[in-house]
Amino acid sequence: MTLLSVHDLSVMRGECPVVDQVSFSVSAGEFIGLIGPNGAGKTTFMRAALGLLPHTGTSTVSSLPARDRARSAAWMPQNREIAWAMSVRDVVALGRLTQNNPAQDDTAIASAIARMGLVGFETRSAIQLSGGEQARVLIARALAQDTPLLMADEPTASLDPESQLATMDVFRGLAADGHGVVASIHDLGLAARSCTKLALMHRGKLVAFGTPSDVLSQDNLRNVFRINAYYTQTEHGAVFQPLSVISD
Amino acid sequence: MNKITPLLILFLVMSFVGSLMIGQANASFGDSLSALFSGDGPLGRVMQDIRLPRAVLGMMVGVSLGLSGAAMQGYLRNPLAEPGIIGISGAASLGAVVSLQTGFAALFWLALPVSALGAALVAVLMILTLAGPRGGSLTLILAGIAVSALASALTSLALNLSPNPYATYEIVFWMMGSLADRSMDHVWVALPFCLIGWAMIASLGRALNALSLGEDTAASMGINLSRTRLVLIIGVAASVGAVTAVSGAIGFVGLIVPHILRNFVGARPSSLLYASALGGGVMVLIADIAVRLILPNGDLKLGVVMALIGAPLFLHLIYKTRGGLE
Repeated sequence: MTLLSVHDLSVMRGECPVVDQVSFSVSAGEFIGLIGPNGAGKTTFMRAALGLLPHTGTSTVSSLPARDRARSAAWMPQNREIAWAMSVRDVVALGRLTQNNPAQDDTAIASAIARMGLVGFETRSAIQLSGGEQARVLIARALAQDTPLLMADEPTASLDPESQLATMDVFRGLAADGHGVVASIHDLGLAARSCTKLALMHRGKLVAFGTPSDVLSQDNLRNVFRINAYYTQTEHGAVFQPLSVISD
Repeated sequence: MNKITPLLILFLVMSFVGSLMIGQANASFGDSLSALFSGDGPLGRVMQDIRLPRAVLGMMVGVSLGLSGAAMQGYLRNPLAEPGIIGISGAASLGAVVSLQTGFAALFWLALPVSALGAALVAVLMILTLAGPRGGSLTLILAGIAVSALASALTSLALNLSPNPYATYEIVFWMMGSLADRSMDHVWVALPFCLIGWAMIASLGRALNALSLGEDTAASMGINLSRTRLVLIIGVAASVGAVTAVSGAIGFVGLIVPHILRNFVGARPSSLLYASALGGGVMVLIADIAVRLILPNGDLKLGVVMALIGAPLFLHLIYKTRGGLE
């Protein structure tokens, strides 16, 4: 089942296309890693696809009315803002604002808290937690929204290795449960070992889409990321190591 | 409903009754109460024509400022925000000052509040134009600062061009904010705007909760940010513009009350709305009682007392905020 389909999606900033005619789809069971250098247009693409930015082209999510959109896709922006000293449970409970089923709220909140390893943190003030713990709280908030699709902008940024792997495991688990997940990820090794597919963006365009081994080809690494890298499959999963910068 | 809500309701009722009972006419509680309902004799006139409108207006002013303050803080995600930040109270004051300065206010009793409300409306239109249809909270703050600065400059100009010292005195005293010598006519002028404004702001609880996680997350949760901002601006303008039109500028209530109550009702903006409305009513009524007790035969202004109470609390708030950042 297709959860998100975008066709020729473009976002202009003045005369300059920040996202340039991207076509893309996400099906249930897929965990797609959106990769690309800084400024490639990953965040802008995801925000536009969710209807948070004006764009041309079509997106099956952005074309929905706001409330239906919120029930179709949860969004975790890179900016981890928690304005007030709310408890962890109150923050996670905000994910239920979009749902009309109060009877399931407690179960969904408890499930999201447990999934992100936050049991015991429920009554603590979210703003007094560490950056990594706050990231887990905000992912739990997105999980509590209980949508078929989850889109996250650099969800593993500033997390320690254990939390990074745990977060990727949660996303993989969601995909295995029939959800769709799209996450922009800068750590190519993490993306390669966790995602079912990778989408490579460069200068606003989608330049490669497929399995990690197809997308992380030496050509793409050279032309897009300007690096030489070691990439191989092992019994422990994919291993990726940047080696050197290609200078002109 | 929070645990503190019944307590706040009780305090509001007590301070409202206190406001009705305290004044220059020395009468027992029973006599005052029966005179309030019967309206007989001089005490009846005092109760119905002086104290009742003063108490009702005190409550309306406090509820409007407390509710608007909580809403502005929730929207801007900043505990230092207050209703005046979008320039509505400054513009309403300007309207009143111009009507006093030009003598328009002396033509008929409704002239001053109508001028203030008209200026508040102009300010709303300016803010909406300046902030644009899709702007975020930052553009709203900038637009508010611009409108406030313009209103302040024009108020200074009106004072500068005062035809005589008496007009200047009248303007300066009006700007200090007071509930003295108001009638039920003032209540009836302000009440419809207040009710509309309160209802609009009260409808924003869900959106303000979602905004706790930022505008992007709120939008992704189905919150229409443009509509939220529009409802907020019009709600704050209607209620704060109306009470400023009848009482003058009374500061600090919208800043301090949500801050104090956040410790009791929690940080969720929707919970704070109702509590701050009640708390604002209590604070203004108590301050207005203090005005009458401190200088029973003088003309101590409510705005002055509120500033004297509010400024130290504000300093405390800054000190605490600094402590949290260091």
